[in-house]
Amino acid sequence: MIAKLIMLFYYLLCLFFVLITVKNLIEENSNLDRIILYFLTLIPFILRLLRFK
Amino acid sequence: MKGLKMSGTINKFKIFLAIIFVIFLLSGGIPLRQHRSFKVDIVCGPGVTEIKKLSDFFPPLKGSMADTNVFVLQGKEPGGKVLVMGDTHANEPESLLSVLIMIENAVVEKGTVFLIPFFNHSASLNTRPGEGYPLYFSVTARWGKKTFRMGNRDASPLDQWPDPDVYIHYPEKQLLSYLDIRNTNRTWPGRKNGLPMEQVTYAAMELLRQERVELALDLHGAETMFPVTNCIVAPEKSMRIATLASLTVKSMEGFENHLESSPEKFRGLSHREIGDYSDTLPFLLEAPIPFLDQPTGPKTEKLFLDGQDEFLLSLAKEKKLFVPYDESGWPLEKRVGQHLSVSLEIIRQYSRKFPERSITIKNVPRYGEVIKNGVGFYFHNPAEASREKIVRH
Repeated sequence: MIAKLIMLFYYLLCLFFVLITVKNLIEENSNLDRIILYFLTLIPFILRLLRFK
Repeated sequence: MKGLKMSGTINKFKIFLAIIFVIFLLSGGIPLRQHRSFKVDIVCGPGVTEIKKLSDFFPPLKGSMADTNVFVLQGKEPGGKVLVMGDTHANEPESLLSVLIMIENAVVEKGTVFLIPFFNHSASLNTRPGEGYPLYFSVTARWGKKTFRMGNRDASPLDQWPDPDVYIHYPEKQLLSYLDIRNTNRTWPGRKNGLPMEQVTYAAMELLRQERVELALDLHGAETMFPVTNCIVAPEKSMRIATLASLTVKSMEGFENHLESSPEKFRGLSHREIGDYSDTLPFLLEAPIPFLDQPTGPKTEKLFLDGQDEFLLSLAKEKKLFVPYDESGWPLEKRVGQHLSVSLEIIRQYSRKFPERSITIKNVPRYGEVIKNGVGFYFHNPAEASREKIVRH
């Protein structure tokens, strides 16, 4: 039961990181390195949210 | 004006990166998704009398990824009972193939045989990150190719997560690696209210206890550089039968399969806990798999099938391997044939010792036959089988 709750919070945390990263990505208008970094950061979170890996 | 131009360039760059991102995501994600939903068609042979679920012995598993099929082959005459498990470690699929050959071909005349082809079902849907394993492998049958998933040693984190910092084994309280909480050969004898893989082994213990199963055979594979390979691992109570089986296959079929004593102080393993927590006699069979060794060439399907590797060959010349190894490698036929012969021999030796609880199995090929005909020879064409005989797993 506790493990299931932690799993749920983990997915919510993933979703939060995806939203916050996408928000930063949209707002970032000058630093190209940061834009690339935001895209790279998104990959594991999205794979997990889609239950690919 | 300059700012607006810069902003336009940045937006184009973002769109370009987003396209690249989607391409990477799809090219990486779709194969993983397909692997997780890929099904193997099992054609039930004439001996299969019932198909149960592990959850029939422990209902909380029902509907979860950890639940798995239990094929029952009941003989006409009552006798002893044996459980054979494959894919406890799903990156050692010779165990799976051996159990599937039994399901598709065996006829039980006396006693009952329980067969679990995908013991760690979640691990069979998992992939091995970072080592470049193929996602699938195929064997050549008489009617074409039969394809199987290549799984991982541990259950998928999608089905059981988070891992603890240190895994404390239940009930012996031994400290084990955090990863082993997802390894169904470290979670025996299981825990009723534990994590899913502890529940899988608990359910298997329930099967053994409720059905009063006398023998449990857990099929595995191990690296050629690992000392516990090409052997039968048995605790004290199973040692006599294991010894007779080892000697018989050596003298009658000409292959070596030495004995290893199950260590008393290493907990969580099937060959230790099944014996300690039930009346069943456990045996763990290890076949050498060059594919699993670290210093090999690329982890290709070919390496998995033929077991031929030039780096292992040079190590064999330096006497660094624990099995004889030459240019012929250690092909799949040899590994599967070995598992089948040793399993049959353990059952035969038990039957000789306890004739009133004997088990008689027919139509399962032995070592020499599998080497001669190949593994695929024993799989039936799902396209030609009647619908009710096919189980998708």
